[in-house]
Amino acid sequence: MKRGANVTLTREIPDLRGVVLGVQFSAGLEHVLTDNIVVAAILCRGDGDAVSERHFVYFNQLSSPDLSVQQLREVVGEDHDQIEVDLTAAPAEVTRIVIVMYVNEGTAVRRTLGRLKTCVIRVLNLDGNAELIRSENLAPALDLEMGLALGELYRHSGGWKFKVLGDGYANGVTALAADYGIRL
Amino acid sequence: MTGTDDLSWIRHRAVPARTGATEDLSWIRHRRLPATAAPAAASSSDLAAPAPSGSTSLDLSGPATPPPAPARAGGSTSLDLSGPAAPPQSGSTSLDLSGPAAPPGNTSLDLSGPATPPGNTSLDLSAPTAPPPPPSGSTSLDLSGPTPPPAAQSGGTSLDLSGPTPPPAARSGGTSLDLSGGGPPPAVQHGGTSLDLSGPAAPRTPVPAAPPPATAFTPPRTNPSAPTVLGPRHPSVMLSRLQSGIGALTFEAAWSPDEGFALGCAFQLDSGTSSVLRPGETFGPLTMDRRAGHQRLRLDLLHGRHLRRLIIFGIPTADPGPYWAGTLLISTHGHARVEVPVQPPPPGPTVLLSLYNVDGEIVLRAEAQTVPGRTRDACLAFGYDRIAWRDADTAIPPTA
Repeated sequence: MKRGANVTLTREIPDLRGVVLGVQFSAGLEHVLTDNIVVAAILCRGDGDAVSERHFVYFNQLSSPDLSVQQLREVVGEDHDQIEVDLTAAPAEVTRIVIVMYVNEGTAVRRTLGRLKTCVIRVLNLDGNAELIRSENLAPALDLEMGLALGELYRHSGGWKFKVLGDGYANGVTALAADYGIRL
Repeated sequence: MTGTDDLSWIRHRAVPARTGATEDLSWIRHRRLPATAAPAAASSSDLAAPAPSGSTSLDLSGPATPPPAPARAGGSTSLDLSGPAAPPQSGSTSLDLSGPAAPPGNTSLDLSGPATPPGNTSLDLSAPTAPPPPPSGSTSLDLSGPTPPPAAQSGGTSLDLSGPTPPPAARSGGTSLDLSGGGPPPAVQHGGTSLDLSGPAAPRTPVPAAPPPATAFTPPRTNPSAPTVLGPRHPSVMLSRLQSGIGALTFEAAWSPDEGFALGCAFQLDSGTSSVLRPGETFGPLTMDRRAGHQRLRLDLLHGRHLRRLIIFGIPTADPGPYWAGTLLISTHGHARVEVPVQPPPPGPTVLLSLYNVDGEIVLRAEAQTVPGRTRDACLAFGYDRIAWRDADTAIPPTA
């Protein structure tokens, strides 16, 4: 799927109860980059902001308070990171679930996402692990970005849709957090 | 275990030996049971006592001299390490390790002396007790000493650590741990599932003491609009899960002259790896460097998630003089700022700050503790006892 494209998941699969959002990326031998990439999910309200800072799901906060979105410590399959979303358990106030990634600026060596060779987000059915959607390679469009919104699940007329985003953020997680109203 | 405000419960500093349990924290006390059971009720850890037939006895009890039995009223869950002559207590919540007692209706962990606990549901580590009835057909671990009549236990799964008990106790359906010594009144236990350390006691209610719920505690957090200043009155702050996992935490030694007070840190990872970092060194997620003329420590929070604890200390290398002042500045990726004022350092290493990773949330605590001696002494004072030293100031670096 190209960036910007969307699909109505619950129309294609009416009994869809949950999905797994898998992220794959590689940078060849640039382990300094891939070792410092963090994948996160942000649960947003209707106004586009995160519900709270507890709704930023990543390695140090492995689930949202309602347990509807959970990041796996150990992935199942070949993804680098996987986030499970129970669509039936998501609170009504959560209208968007955005999957983002950023380069953690914890080491002295700074690498940008432009060194990525591949970067793909895919959607799996939580029941059975069948791949439903695979995005195009988002890496070629990246240059100096330190953060990237990969895709989003969002409510639409009683169901859930998925959209490939591919929006880069030059300022990394700081800009991502500001964009979604999260205080770091 | 003082106020809740200073998070003393997470401090692993070496403290003097515990003197009696006066606080009412019975839920913690249960985990100390093996340690506290030793001094209980004149128990001399007699492991050499001849085992009764058909039992695998471990005798932790004392001699079979039944001391006077002060009666303890029911409902007691207290930890009482007192001697045998303790006055009767009623309605208390202490763990009773005392001598002979007769706690009727007791739901506690009772290490008291001779007691007759029929229908008992507690752990019996008692000292000389009355002749217990013969246990028959039980699956209990009988650690009792020489019991003249062989024990015949029935249906029980109790652990009997009793000493020489003239008549064995009949146990039925119980799963209790009986550490009682020999005593006059026979103890009959049945249907219980708890650990009875009591001696001959009156019948007790079989209700196990539930751990009291921890009081709600709201840890202090950083303030987005102003720096958080840590000091003796407000020594600690807890970073959020985002502040504890995004970017890096930087600790900057804002003082001059820079060389007069050298920064260092001791750390321990979840794996147990523990060592000391000095200026210019790097290990794993920790980097010590200089920036803008100041010594600086950086903790990479992505790769530092396996860091369990850390202390930051200063080593005075020259006399700072009376007008010296400085601050340890801590900043998060989101520019939340924590300040720790540093007083003119007395001779000796001074621990300025401790850091603990409490299940993904980092707690910072101002310490300002000067330890007489060398770096090693400061580390040992804070419980860093797994560091290999080359000399009193130099640790052997761990293999990465």
